Amino acid sequence: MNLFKSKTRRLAAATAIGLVSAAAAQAEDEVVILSLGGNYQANQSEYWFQPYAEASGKTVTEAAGYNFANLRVMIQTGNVEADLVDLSADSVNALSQEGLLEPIDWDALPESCTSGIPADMKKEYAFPTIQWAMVMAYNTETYPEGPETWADFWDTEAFPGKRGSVGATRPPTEQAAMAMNPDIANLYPFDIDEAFDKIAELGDDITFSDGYAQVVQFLADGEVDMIVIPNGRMVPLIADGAPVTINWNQHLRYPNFFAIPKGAPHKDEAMAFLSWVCEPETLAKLAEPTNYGPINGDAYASIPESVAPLLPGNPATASEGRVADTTWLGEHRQEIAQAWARMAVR
Amino acid sequence: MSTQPDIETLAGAPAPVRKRGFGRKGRDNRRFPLFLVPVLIFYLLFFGYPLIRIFWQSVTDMGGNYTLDGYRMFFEEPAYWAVLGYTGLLGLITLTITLVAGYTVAYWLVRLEKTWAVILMAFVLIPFWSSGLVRTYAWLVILGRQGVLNTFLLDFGLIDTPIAFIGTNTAVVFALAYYLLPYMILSIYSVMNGIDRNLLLAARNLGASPFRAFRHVFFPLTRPGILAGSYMVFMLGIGMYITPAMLGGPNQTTLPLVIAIQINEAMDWTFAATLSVILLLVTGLMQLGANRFLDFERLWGGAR
Repeated sequence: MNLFKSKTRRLAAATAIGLVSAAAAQAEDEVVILSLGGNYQANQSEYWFQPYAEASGKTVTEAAGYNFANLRVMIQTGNVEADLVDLSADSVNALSQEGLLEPIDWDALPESCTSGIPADMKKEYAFPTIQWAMVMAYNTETYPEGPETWADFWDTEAFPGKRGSVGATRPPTEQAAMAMNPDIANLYPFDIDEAFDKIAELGDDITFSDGYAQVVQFLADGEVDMIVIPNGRMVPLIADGAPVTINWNQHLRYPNFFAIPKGAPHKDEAMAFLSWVCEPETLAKLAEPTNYGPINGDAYASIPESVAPLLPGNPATASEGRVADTTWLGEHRQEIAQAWARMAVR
Repeated sequence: MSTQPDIETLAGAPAPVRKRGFGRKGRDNRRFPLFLVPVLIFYLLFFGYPLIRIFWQSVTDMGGNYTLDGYRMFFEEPAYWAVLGYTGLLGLITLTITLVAGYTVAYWLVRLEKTWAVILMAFVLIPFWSSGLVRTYAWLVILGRQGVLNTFLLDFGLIDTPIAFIGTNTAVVFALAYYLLPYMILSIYSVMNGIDRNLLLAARNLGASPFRAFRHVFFPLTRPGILAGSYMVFMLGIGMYITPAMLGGPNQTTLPLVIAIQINEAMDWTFAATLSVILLLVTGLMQLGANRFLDFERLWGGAR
């Protein structure tokens, strides 16, 4: 019973999928895109989905907000109501391992689209769009001489104050590992138990939250002074002129993808949309409003010079961090969840 | 639920073995068995089937093969036992607080004049109808480091540095008790409201002190409300996700949180289902135990 009532979000997602199914029955010439909602999807809609609908004369139906659980069930039961889904690297790995995604027809995409994409991002089952970065952000009033490394984040004597992070869902294990071993090139594999010992060291100096929105809110309220956060979450706060800044040193980048679920009703339409949206200058349009960086390096040619430094993976800061090993993380999620529970009962 | 008191209870005679709860309704239904069919279908469809699915899921892996890995993982990791224990303890503490507070409030409400009772009942019902997420968020606003409570205490010079409430047992217990209190009040109130006040007068008339009349006549009659409220509060309390997730820290990890992580993060649905089954079994057993050993009639009514 608890399996079903544990998250209210589920209801919203179910409603979203329900709406899709109502719309899916209408047209043949349409593509149904399921994305992550919020500010991110609003911008996707404005710069990608709606312009495509206008340019092609086809119907683009959007659905927002899903979680991995109901997405997986949707595909498994063959009741597929989306043609294209915005997925994290973890989800791409998990779903493709179970054979729940259609292969991407890379040959069907224009040369101009593919030449700027790093080879390891040309996934068999997913097209890379943007990347976000897990960064450190801090209050510049508390720390005029900001913390520079994750070791500083853990140094409560040199930098007194509260730390904030998302808890159970994504504990800062890699950051803890980087605090112990600053050689980011050899971050993976790291010892999960040691990382949790390191996290436990912070004790009362770290406040864990249920979601990123709350972590950011805590920083804005002065509840915490230093946080682990996806860079895009900081955009509104920085735009408001709050005394906060991002430290890009030792950041970790996470790619996001478009993928076609197995059994999608309009998978050809989904490919047609991909071969339109994949142009570097189209992908680049999301950069300024979201601060998520394009994965296609060619896109930087269409990004204003003032925006580029804010983006994960931009040429200036890319070498300060690295791409997270989402395959390794995916394989060790159960261990991380277990270690979290062990830390909880210490 | 109007409870007509039977003469045995009043006289304090040894309590006869009596079917509890739905026993009496069962007799009526035997006369009209067809009435049961829609209910039966409803239960099988919406409770029976999902339950069986969860049991099934707990012994099959992603590929659909039989496995006991979920149960092995639970029994090999003492941390999960501790989380289960904490979850149960949290449920019991919440239950105790809501029971004491709820009983008092309900007792006060039934004794009030009708108009006032209705107005005050609205104060119980309005939070009951509003979103649990919003009500939990409100506690975040109140208990935060720069929240209402800390600001108040700081302004009046009662404390020098803000007290960290968020991420403590206190915050979780308070918010849980607050969230679940209406369930307890309503359960007890509905039963109390059905008690014939003349019984108390009769007891007084027969020489009982007010306290004695309350303890031996009124209290035993409220037992169904106490039981119903306690079950509901305990079950909801240990199954609550939002409150421990938002107001607790790592040390307030409850089993529902672990289940959610398994579904969405670790993506191990076998283990998630296993934990659900274990939680269900443990609560089921606790209820059986409570039914068996906590005989309120014996505890309060029969002891003279």
